[in-house]
Amino acid sequence: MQYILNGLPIGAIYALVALGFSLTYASAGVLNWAQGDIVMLGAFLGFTFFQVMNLGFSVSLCISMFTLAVIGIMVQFFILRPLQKRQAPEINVVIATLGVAIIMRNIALIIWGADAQIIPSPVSNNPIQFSMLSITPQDILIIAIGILIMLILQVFLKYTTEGRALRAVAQDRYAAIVMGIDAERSDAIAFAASSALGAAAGILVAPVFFITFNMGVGIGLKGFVAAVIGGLGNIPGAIAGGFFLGVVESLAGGQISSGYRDAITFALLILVLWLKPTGLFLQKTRQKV
Amino acid sequence: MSKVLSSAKENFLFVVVLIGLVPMVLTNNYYLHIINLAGIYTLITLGLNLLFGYTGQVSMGQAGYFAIGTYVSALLMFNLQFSFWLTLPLVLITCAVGGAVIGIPAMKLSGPYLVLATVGFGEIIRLILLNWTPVTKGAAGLTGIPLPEFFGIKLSSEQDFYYLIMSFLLLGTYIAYRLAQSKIGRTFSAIREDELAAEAMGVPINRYKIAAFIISAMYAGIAGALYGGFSGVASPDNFTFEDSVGFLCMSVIGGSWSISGAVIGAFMLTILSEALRAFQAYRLIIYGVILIFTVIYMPQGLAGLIQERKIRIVARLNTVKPSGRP
Amino acid sequence: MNTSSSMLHINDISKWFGGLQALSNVSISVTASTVHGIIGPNGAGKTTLFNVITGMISPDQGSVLLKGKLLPRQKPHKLVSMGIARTFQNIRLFNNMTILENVMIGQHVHTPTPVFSIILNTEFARIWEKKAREEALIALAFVGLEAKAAEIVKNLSYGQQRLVEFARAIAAKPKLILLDEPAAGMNPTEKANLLQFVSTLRESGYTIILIEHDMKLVMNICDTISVLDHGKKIAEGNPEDIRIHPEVIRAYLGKREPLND
Repeated sequence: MQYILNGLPIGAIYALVALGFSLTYASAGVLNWAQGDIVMLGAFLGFTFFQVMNLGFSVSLCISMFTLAVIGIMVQFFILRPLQKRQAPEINVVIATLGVAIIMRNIALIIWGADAQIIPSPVSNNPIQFSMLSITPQDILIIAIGILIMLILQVFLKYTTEGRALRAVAQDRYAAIVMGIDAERSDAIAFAASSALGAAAGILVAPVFFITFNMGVGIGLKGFVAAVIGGLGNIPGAIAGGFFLGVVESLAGGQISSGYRDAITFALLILVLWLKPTGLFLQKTRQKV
Repeated sequence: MSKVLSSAKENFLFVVVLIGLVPMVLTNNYYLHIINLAGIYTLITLGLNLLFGYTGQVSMGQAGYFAIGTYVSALLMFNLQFSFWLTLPLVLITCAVGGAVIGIPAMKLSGPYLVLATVGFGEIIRLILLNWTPVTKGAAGLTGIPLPEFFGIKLSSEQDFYYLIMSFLLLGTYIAYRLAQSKIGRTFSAIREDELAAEAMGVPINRYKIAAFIISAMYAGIAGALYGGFSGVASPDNFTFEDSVGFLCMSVIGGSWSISGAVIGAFMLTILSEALRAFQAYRLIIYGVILIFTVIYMPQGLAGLIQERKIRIVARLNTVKPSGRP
Repeated sequence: MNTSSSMLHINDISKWFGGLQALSNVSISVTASTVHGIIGPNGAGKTTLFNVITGMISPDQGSVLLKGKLLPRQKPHKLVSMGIARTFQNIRLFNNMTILENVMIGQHVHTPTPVFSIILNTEFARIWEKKAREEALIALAFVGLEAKAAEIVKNLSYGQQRLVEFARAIAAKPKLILLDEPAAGMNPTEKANLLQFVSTLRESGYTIILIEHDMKLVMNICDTISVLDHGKKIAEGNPEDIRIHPEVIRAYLGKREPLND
């Protein structure tokens, strides 16, 4: 049971990253390989603002999210648009985002160096006991902020014009264009939002793990796995998938073996995909003949 | 016109002789080492092109088969005193099984789901290699992998490996070419283009998809066996999913729906990677930029670009409308 | 139903999608070497029926027999070897391949795939490749496109692409050809050619089932017409009978005038 609780904070982080993946996939049809490195950049920026410049934690979080949102828009503009114009095959878009990921990673290496950094947590890391379980305030903070951001996202998607436009584009791009929605602007917003989500994930994960220029690879992969579990493009699914992955990892690591933990997760994933090729929470769409 | 249409056999012999002469001209061991490495990677890319470029199945897990090849070969040589050559059939069999293991769930998948399943496979292999310490020596990996022998002579120099690797490469390219040009290649392409229609025309698509996975696995496995003898050491760090991504890039940049594309892509990226080594971190940034550039402006890869040039030249000579075959 | 002379016998097929019944006890018997039309308003279940015949979806009840042999469910790739080929409503060709290659795929079950012979490039492999190529050219000649064999499909006009689909179906050497809205998107000249083409197919001994919305075409070319509405067969007979059939008229127009185009 404790393992389940332990899995929640990392689950929240995975959920944020997964949301990033699902957002860009749903609206622009893009599997953004750079999502993990966006998380990394968010973490480093947070480090710079919080540790180096001594701005408050929340301030650092917000500025970091904003900066990365801008970067996300730049990626959409300079890289996605030309590809869309040329009707590039999906895999080419993925590789382009891979190029972006490599560039981001190495810019981070140049700016912040190869040493791992760490952000001290704004709250204590001492476990609070209640009945047989314990949780740290840090964990609570991560879960709380994570959920808060997810709620803001939901509000955005449901109640704002841009959010609704995004959902329209995600459902049926051509119909949305015909109805006068600027699909490319929606894409830009989707990229901005997922980058902001990634940045948040980065800052939240920073007190837990070391920040290195390389961390994007691992966390991006985990977030991707979570998004797929929930059904790629499915927003609530991404959240469910993220928490699910966090908990499963925690259980597998604790109960079975920590070295093979990721192997077990992947094996489970392949099993899930075999049985439900479009993820646990997404309905299998019938092929139109 | 005659240059374009000269006999395939003559072309082939010409190329073989040319390849044979290289070590005599290029005496620098460092350059030969790069070429040898590129040759090994080309074998992987050949298999990947058949799986991805032709059959349309994305795989970001080829490093897994590459690893299986290296480890199976090395472990058989260490523990059972097999010769290098004797390990090869077993590498092929193990990789064929590996190919089927991922091919079977993969046949229902496409797009990002397929990507993820193949990534998962590659990671599972890497983690097994990392954790199964009694057999694989875990993170420390294998050292002192025996050199292959040819009629009693140990192949140890770069020149020796050059001839060994190039022989395999020529054979591998030939086989891949034959497959691609045949009914099998055509069927693979049909599956990529529209698997539903292919199925309606009688193609047993699942069988072919699994076959494609198995073929690509075997190619990567052989490359792995060669790599073991070539580098002498192997650890799970050599076979990460970043490496798999690298192979996919070689495929795409060279031109995935093309056999020559595999050669071009692997050589170009291997040489480029080395050439930029001096720039350290900037090198990878340049690499990333080139990647993005290629994918936007040369979507069919370098081989596609060359093909289009050829078509345009022939068209100008014949004043016939070019048909833009990728 | 006399099943001995029928090429295809659709036997009491029913299919539900969730709560919606798409097909309801449909039974149709198609005679060999005839052109049999299946018509009905949109949503009548025509394409669903096609998909059941071709094994793409599995019926909840009933069976389909080809010359007395039961058709396998959910195994579309076995259809060709049993003698059925189809075209698609939305044209599904292999866009980046040449016309010739597209049609050669139709030959898939009729030629062996000798892996080792292919790798060694033996006489055996070469002969079969040549044969597949020749058969494909013959099929292309049937539709008049053999001169364009080396063209890439995506560069062709819509009408030409339809013809390629026909050629590919013919190359599969079927006894029965299913045409899914073959006239969709065609201009009058192309439709006239289609009429001629289907007629020639019938004379050549093929049995043809076609789904179509173009009434004029259907009335002109079909020997028998079955009419579906809301998943049920509401009428069946020759064009003359169908034209004045009150149920059919009601289904389409809700009026009581004879059916014209």
